[in-house]
Amino acid sequence: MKNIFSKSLYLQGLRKIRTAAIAMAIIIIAVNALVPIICIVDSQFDFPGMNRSVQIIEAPVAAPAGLGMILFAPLLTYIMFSYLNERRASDFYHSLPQKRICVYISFIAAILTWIAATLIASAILNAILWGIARYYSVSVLAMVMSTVTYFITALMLVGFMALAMTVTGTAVSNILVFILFALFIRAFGLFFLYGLQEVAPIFNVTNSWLGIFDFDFFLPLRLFMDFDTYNRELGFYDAGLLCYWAVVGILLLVAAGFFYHRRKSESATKSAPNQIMQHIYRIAVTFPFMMLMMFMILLDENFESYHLIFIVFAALVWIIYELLTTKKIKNVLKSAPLFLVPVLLSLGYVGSVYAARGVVYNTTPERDEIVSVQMDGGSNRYYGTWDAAIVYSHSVEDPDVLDMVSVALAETKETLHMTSSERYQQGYTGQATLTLELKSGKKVTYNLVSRFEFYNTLVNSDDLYALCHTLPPDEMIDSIHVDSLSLREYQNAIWAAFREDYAAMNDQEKAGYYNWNNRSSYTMTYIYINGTYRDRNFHGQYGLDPQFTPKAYALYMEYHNRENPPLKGLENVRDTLNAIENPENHLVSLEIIGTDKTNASIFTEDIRVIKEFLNTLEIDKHLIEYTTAKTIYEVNTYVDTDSANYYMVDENGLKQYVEVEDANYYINNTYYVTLSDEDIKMYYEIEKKYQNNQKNYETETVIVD
Amino acid sequence: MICAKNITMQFDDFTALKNMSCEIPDGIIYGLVGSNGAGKSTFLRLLSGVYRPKSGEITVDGAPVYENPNVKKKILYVPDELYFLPQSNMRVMANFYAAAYEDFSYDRFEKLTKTFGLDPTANINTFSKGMKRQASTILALSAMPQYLFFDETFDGLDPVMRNLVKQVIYNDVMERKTTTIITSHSLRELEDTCDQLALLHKGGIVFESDIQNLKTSLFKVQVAFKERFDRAKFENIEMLNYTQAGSVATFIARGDREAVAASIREKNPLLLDVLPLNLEEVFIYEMEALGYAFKDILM
Repeated sequence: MKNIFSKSLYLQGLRKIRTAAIAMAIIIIAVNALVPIICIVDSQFDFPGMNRSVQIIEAPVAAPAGLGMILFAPLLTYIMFSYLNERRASDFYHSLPQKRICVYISFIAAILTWIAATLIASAILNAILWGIARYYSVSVLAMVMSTVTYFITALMLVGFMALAMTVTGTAVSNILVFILFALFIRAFGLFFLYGLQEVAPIFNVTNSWLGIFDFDFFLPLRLFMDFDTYNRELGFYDAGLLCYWAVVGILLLVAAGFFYHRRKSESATKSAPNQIMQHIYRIAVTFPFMMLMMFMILLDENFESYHLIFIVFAALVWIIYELLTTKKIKNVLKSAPLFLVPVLLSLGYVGSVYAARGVVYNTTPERDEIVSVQMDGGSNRYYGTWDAAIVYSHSVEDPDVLDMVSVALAETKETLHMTSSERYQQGYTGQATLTLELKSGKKVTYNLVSRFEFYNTLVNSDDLYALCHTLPPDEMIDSIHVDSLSLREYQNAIWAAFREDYAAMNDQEKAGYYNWNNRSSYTMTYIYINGTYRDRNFHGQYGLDPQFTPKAYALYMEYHNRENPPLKGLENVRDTLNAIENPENHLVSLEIIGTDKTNASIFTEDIRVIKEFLNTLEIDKHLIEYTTAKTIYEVNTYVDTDSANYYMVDENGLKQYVEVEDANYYINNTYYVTLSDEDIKMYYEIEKKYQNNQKNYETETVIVD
Repeated sequence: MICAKNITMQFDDFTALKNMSCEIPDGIIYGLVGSNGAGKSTFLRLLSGVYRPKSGEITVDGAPVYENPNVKKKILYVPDELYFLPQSNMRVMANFYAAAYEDFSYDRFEKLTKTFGLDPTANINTFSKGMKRQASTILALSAMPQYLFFDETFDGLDPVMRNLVKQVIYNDVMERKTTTIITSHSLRELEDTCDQLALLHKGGIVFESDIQNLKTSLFKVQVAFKERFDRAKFENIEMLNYTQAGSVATFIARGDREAVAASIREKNPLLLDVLPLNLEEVFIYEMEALGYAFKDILM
C-alpha cells in the first residue's frame, strides 16, 4: 500500500488543485441550490384558497452538477498533471522518492476527493433545502443515484484527461487527444455503424455489440443533452449502464496509470512520446473528416461535388494540428506523405461497410431457423406503457408471429430498393426493429417493414396477451400519483380500490375500459403510476369513472372533497367575488363540466353572471354525496385577485387585458358538486339576462414588455 | 557509493551518454565538467531516477535507482532549471519536501533561511534567479539526503552568495559525509570546490582524477642552457608538451616536482623555473595528451 499510495502526496495533491476545486465547489453547490431555493421562495407566496399538491422530485435532482462535472473534472485533472507538460516540473515530480504509480494514484485520489466532496456537499445541502420546501418531496434514492451518476461521469472524464495527458506532452495535444479519446473513437464506431445501416437498412447494428459506440452510451454527453430534464423521471438509474460507465472510467484510469508509469520525463513539451505516436495522433485527428466525407457519400450519392472541400478541410486539420503541436513548418512538409494514410483508411472504411453489407444480406434466416422474436423498444430508460414494457421485454414463440416475421423479412428484402415513401404507398406501413433468436442460439436484429402491424400483433399474441391485460404488480410500481391529491396514503388507497375494480371486470368489460381509457376525451382524473419491469421503465395512466371503476371513483371523490371541500371553497370564491368592487377589472372564469357528458359544458368569463349564479345557488345543498350522484359537475373557478391594474375598460368600452406575469395571484381550483337541471337552467337564464344587457365588449390582449 | 556501468542514454536520434562508466566514493564532492550537451544533466537525471538508462546500470549503495523509492529518498537533485510549486513560498516547499523526505529538518531549514537572509513566507515567484538558487539549495540541504546532486548550481549567484553556497555544501559534506556531485561548464568554478573531477565529453568521461593529484602531478618547467640542446636532453622526464625558442625550452612535466627539478639541475642549466599550473592548464595539457583539443571540449 505504501508503494502505491502516499498520504503526504495525496494531501499535497489536494492543495495543488485547491483553487480550481474550491471554485468548482462554490459554483456547483450554489447553482444546484438555486432550484430548491426558488421553490422555497415560491412557496412563500401562498394565499387563502390556493391549493398546491406535493411534487415528488424523482430525478435527476441536481442536473447542474452534471454539467459542472463535464467542465471541472477534466480541468482539475489538467491542473493536477500539468507538470507533465513542463520539463523541469516533470523532472521534479519524477525525482521524488516515490514510485511513479504512487504519485499517480495519490494525485488521482486527490482529484476524485474534491469531486466527491463537492457532489456530496451539494446533495446534502439540496436534501436540506428540499426538506424546507413545503410542497416538494425528494426521493432519497434519486438524490443518491444522481450523485453517483455525476461522480461516475467525473470519473470517466478524469480518466480520459489523465490518459490524454500521460501520452502527450503539450497543452494543445492534451486537449486534442482528450477530445480524440472521449469523442472521436466513439465517432469512428458510429460512422461505421450508421454507414452500414445506410447501405444495409435491414440490419440494425445499434442493437448488436457495435451499439456500444452510440453516443447514448456516453454519459457526459447524455448529461448535457438531458440537462433540462431535472424534474422529469428519465430513469438515470439504469444500474447496468452505470456499472458500464464506472468500469469504463476505472479502465481509463488504469490505462492512464500504466502510461504514467511508462512515461519518460523527457516527453514533456513533446506533443507525442515518440514519432510513431505523433503519426498516429495526426492521422487520428484527420481521419474523422475523411471518414465523414465517405459517410456523406454513403448517405447521398450526389455528394461527390463536395469531396474536394472535405479533403481540403482534412488537410487543413492536418497542418493546423502539426503546427499547434510541433510549431515547425518543416514537420508539416515532412509529414505530408503520410496524409495518404487517412485517405486510404477512409477508402478502407467504405470497403468494410460494403463487405459487412454483403454478409448481412447473405445471412438472413429462413423461417425454420427462427425460434423466437422480440421487439426492440429502444432504451430501457425511457418510460413506455405497461404493455410496451412487456412487449419489449419478452420474446414470443407464437408460430403465427414467427410466420409473420419471416414474411416481413422477405418483404423487407424485396422493398430495399424503394424509398420509404414508396414503401408506404405500397402499403408497407408497419415498421419495427425485431431481434430474432435462431436455432443456433445466435441473436440477430433487423429493421423490418411489412404490411403487418407488429406491435399489436405481439400484444395480442398467445404469449403476451394475458400479461399485457393485467395490472402491474405492486412490487414493480415505484410511484403512484393521483391528480390533485397530496397525501400518499390517499393515492395508495385509490390504486388499491382501482385494482379491486379491475379484478371485478370480465374480459369484455376490460376491453371496454381500455377503449374508454385510451379514447375518452373527458376523464375526471387519472391514476398515474411509474414502475420498472425487468429493468425497463414504464408508466401507466388509468382513468377513473363511476361506471368502470366505481370503488376507486368513489374514493377519489371522497379524498378530493376532503382536501378541497366544495362548500367552503365555493363559498370562498363567492365571497371573494362579492368583495370585488370593480368586477370588470378582474379576470374571473367559471367552467362547469358534467362528468358523464350528459350536459353541455359551460364556460364564462363574465363576473356578473358568475356572481349572480353563485349567489343564487344554495351552495350548501350541493355538497357531493360521493357515488350517489348520477352526474357530478366539475366546477373550475379562476379568480385573479390582483389584476386591478392590468385589466380595464377603455373609453371605447373595449376590455384591455394587460398581461404582467409576476402579478398573477390567483385562485384556480376545481370542485366537484352535484347540480340539478334547475341549477343549470338557472345559469343559462342568468347568462341570457346579461348577454341582453351587455355592452359591446371585446377582448384584446396587450403584452407589456 | 555511486556506480555507473556502461550507461547509454538516447533521446530519439541523439545519444546523450554512450557507454559511460564511473565510480564515485562516498563523502566526497565530485565535480563534473563538460560543455553544453556533454551529458552532465542527463547523468544527474539518471542518478536521480528521473530517467531510465537505455542500457547499462546505475546503482547507489548497490541498488538501482530508477523506480526505487528506498534509494531515491537518499538522493536530492537540484536541477539547472529550478521548479517550485506554483504560487508557493519556501515554507510551502519545505512542507512538500518534508512530506517526501522523512529526514527533512525544519531546524536546519530555519537556520539556513536566516543565514541566506531569505523570507520563507514570500512568494518564490518574487525571488530573483540567484535567490531561487539559494532557496533550492536550502531546501535540498534541509532534506538531509545522503546524496546531493547540483546541476550548474552556481549559475546566477553573485560571488558572495557563491562562496556562501559553497561553504554550506562543504559543511554538509564535512558534518554528514554527504556525497555531492556538482556539474559545471566552468572548470574554474569547481577548482576550489571538488575533491574529484571528471571531464565529460560527447557522452563519455574522457578524464577523471583526484584534484590534489591533478594539481601537483603536472607543472610547467622553463629551462635554458649554454649549449645547444633539444628535447632529447630530457628523455628521462615524462612531459606532455614541449616548446623551444632559441636556448629557452618550456615544457609540462608529470611526476614528482622535486625529483624532476633535481634531475634538470644536474645538467647545469643557465635558467630553471618550475611553475605550478592552474586546473585549467592541467586539463588543457592532459586533454592534449589524450588527443583532445581542450578548446573543443570546454571553450
